[in-house]
Amino acid sequence: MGVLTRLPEHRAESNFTQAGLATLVGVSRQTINSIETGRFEPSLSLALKLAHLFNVPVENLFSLPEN
Amino acid sequence: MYEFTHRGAGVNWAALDQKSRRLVSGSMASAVVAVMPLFKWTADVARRVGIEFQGTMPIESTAVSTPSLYLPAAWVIGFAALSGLLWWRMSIRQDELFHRVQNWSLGMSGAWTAAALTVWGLLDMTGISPPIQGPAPLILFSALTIFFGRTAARKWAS
Repeated sequence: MGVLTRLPEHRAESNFTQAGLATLVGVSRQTINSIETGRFEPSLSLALKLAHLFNVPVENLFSLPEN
Repeated sequence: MYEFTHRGAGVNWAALDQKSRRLVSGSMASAVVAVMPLFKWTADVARRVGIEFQGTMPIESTAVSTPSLYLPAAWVIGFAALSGLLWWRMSIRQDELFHRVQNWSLGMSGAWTAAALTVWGLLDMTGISPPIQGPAPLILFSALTIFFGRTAARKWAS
């Protein structure tokens, strides 16, 4: 069961590039890309870092599919 | 930060910082130096197998001279340890995607190597296969680690 993400929308709203966002949270650009495309599920600490950066609850960024 | 690619050495060189580049270079160079004695061992085994298949020579004369193995073994272990140490120092600087790929590939290759050696050992006990040969487990583990590393990178970091 994959995790749904709204990271691309939040990143676009904040005018961050993948590389810029990656630098801010201390991961590679490839990691941000893999999270956005749903291939890689981030750890809880990375999810919380991202949520803190965008100032939103973590469930706004990541959620489970309805079914 | 380490980024995976799907050709060449498997790393996006431009994405690495200066210290990580030095550590990756040192680790890869040490690994190449470490495996040099294995080329001679592989060539000796291939020669012996070739001669035995040809069947034209008595078995006693197919024996490969085996000088002391301590120096080659120390060479392989020493440089492999250096390579591993440098790789570990590089890996602790990387992020969770890198660790996911690395941990999965090391786990899978370790499990498959253990399974293969168990089967090989059982076959040896029944006399079907020859005994486990010197560096064969190391060669198998290395090849499987590369294979599973590529698989994991395609899965999570393509």
